[in-house]
Amino acid sequence: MTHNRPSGSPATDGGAPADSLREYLRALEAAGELNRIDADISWNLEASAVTMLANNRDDRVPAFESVTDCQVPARLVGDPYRGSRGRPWDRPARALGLPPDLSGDEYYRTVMDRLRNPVDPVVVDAGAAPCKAEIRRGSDVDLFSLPWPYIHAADGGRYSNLHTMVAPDPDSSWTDWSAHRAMIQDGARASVLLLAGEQTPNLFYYRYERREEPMPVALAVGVEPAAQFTASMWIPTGSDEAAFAGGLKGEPVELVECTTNDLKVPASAELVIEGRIMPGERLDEGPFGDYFGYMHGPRRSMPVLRVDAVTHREEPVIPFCVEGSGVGYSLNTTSTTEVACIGPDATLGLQAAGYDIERCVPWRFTPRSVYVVSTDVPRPGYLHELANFIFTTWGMLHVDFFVFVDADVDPLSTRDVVEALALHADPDSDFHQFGAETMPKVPLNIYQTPEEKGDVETGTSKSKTAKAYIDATSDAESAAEPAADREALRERARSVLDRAGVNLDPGVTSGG
Amino acid sequence: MSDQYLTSEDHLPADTGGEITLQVTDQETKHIFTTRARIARDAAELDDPDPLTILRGPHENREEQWYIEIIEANISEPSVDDATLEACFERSREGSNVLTARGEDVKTLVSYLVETGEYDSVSTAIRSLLREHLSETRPELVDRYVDLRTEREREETELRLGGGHEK
Repeated sequence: MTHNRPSGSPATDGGAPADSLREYLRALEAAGELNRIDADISWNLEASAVTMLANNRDDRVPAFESVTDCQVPARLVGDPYRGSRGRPWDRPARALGLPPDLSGDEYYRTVMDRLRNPVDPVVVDAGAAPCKAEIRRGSDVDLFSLPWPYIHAADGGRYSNLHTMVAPDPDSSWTDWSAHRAMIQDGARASVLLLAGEQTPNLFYYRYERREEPMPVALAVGVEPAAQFTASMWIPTGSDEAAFAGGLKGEPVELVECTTNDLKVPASAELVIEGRIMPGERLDEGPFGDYFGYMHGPRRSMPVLRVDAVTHREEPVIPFCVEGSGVGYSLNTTSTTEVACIGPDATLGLQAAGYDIERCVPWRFTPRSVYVVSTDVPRPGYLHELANFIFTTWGMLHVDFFVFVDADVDPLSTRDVVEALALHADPDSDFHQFGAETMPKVPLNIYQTPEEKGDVETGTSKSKTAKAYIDATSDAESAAEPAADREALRERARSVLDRAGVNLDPGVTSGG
Repeated sequence: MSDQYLTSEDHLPADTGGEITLQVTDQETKHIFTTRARIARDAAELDDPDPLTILRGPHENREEQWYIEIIEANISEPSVDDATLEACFERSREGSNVLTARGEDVKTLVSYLVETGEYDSVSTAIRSLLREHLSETRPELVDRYVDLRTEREREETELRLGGGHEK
């Protein structure tokens, strides 16, 4: 660590936050972390294969400057927000103008501090919006003129899977930003993965579709980093997502009204797809190489987006994520944003709900399935209460189980968490099934056969499941051990190992 | 457009003989569309065959090589209105399931099929013909109906096993 900020204080002395995806890519390039590839690359598996290799090797972010077989000159960038293996938050930190050498704890504190201070967006005229350089409407729209990547062999189609979906609540002025992948069907239609239980899907299934009304939406592709990160977060229903993006950025996000509806999208977007998700219409979605790291079947019937217009910058840059490459020992954009965006957001949410937790951190190699929470246990039953709150609010669909560790355990350190599990989780008394067989199960799960998953319209599995939590906090006896003694013991052990030539930073600890 | 296509077994009608409606994916562009076509395991059975890969299994990881002769590309099947389908389903279960229609031409043709032994009765003939026709022309509608019926049967079974009472 090279900076001299007092430990624990929010960082404010970084560079300027990136105003656009391409500005962020230039910052990566200046830092030697971008690999501009000028050779011809096909959208058909080639771009994703190169990206997967880069992910697996913890290499630079690949930017494909010359994509073949697309009528509109456009570029691709693979997993642009993937963090480095040992420090997943480093590239998101750079995107937000934070020092790239922050420790994990400092990064979390800084992001949480920014999220506590939303900044209202400003609305700009279409003439000032970069995403309106080219406008195509109606029959002039052809999604296949753009190089949407075919990501995994055996995917059901080409995907846009790194965008911000903007959708309005029909009964209030609230607009939700979210991330739901879209499989391109033909020139003017896509099927969108909407899993009931999440905010935007609930708007569609339980408001618009029940009233037999189309839901106006915009897919803003390649928006500025702060907006991209906000779309992945669980911003409370009714809150202004653009203001949280502004808070995260530290300055207002610019919005612009869509061309064919009155939704407002980040003006920084590389490309915007405007359209309507139609009631009662379904098309195949998937199979898809999912974030668990395997090919997910069966194909499901999902709601249909009918496209009314596409607007974009000159030579737009289309970002994509190679889902499935962020498990095991490698990272991708999904697993990175889980750790670097959803973690601080969840921590803040739990603290705001009155739980005095230290940090809530997604386990970096199993995106969405396992979370680690470091916390004190002030009273018996506290962890059960905490689990109940999480599973019945925002964690019910994707999160399978939680690991609770002591407040002084670093949940970003896989080593420390495994140590806590080994030392403090009694197989007889500390593994708790929760809500036995009553919780919704995300149909993308790896545990059920396709037949068991079924094909329910709203997306959740037919069967219910149990969630679980592991109490890996120390008991009262070991907790009584003075922290200073343990730290001294740890230092002594490190010193012995260091003298013996053991590498103490193999790249899986929190670093910093 | 390429001359190689792909589809899932989910989209195959029960009877693959004759002219069928089929959703296929263009292997080169990944364009997904519904086509009127003939398909066969043996290319020699078609006049103008192109390769068609049929994906089988729940994860679509088993491939079978078939052939397709596209008669009309990119036809669009009307969308299924689920609410209407569900209402029709409930009405048919709760009320009369008798279907009446008047039509001299239809009666003549169906009677011919019965009298020549192709079908046992007029009602069997009408049910079979309609089912075959819809399987080919409206596979999405038939699929949704089968899903709906399966779901209802599953719910009723659960109620019975759980000692509950049907509504």
